[in-house]
Amino acid sequence: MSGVYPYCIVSTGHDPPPWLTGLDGRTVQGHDVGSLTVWVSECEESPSLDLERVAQHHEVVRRAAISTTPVPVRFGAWAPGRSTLSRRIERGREDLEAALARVSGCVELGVTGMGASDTPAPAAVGSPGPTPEGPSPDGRAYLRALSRVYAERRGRRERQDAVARDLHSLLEDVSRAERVRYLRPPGLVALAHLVAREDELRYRGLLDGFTPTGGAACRLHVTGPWPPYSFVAP
Amino acid sequence: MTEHASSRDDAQVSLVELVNRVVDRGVVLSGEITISVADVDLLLVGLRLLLSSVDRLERPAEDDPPPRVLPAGSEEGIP
Repeated sequence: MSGVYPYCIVSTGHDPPPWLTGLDGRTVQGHDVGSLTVWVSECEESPSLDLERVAQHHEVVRRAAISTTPVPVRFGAWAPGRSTLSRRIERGREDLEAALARVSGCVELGVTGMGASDTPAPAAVGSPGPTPEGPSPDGRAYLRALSRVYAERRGRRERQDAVARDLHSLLEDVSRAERVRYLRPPGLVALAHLVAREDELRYRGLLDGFTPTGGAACRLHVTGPWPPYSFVAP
Repeated sequence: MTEHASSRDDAQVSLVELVNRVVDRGVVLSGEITISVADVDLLLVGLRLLLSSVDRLERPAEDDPPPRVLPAGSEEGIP
């Protein structure tokens, strides 16, 4: 008995094209479970993680997203057989159907705000902190340096909050859902939005005129359209 | 002000965003949690390898040829 590797879940009736291949060139097939079809490949064992396989996994999900809206499965799911996979799908069927309904007709778009290249990166969170450059018997230099580090961190967090707030306000009307991640330097924030397919151009157009509050320097990278990876799990 | 992102920056951000989505988003089917708990070390090793691969991709390879400056108006073509 062969194991199976799932890529995504769609409504029944949306089978993968017969020529489609996934992980390590394996053929992708549809596996029906009630009203759902799981796009899977036969796979003897759980695949190890590498960039090529991540790209192959994504390519299958992306292909599904051309004809319908899939619920992407996180990389690395593997079942020892089709019956085990069916049981797992059955167990979560209500949630999966709710997720399908939630993202139906939508794509995910991402916008990442990066700090200006000439902005010095503040000390990493969790670093040991400042080291006095010379002897400082009363410790005042050390405390001043410590104070600078904390001020930089506060300033950075305020910048992140401001950019996230500005982007949220700008894109609120065109987004059905939003997820925000705070990034390490030189990144600031990454926002993911669930957007109706027909609103993608409007979304991009709004970002063309983006200016952060206070005119702080910020480079924007828009990514997508993605299958709705960020909006199918709690 | 908002700056335009270079295509190289765009490619790097896209790669990071791809990995973030495929590895850290999407539904987790029941049953996998057991596998993850049992194989915590393996999963961590896998992630470290993946992240170091991303890091390698973001840096120019040591044996990459140095960038060439072309005369104004010329185009890179097949020699």
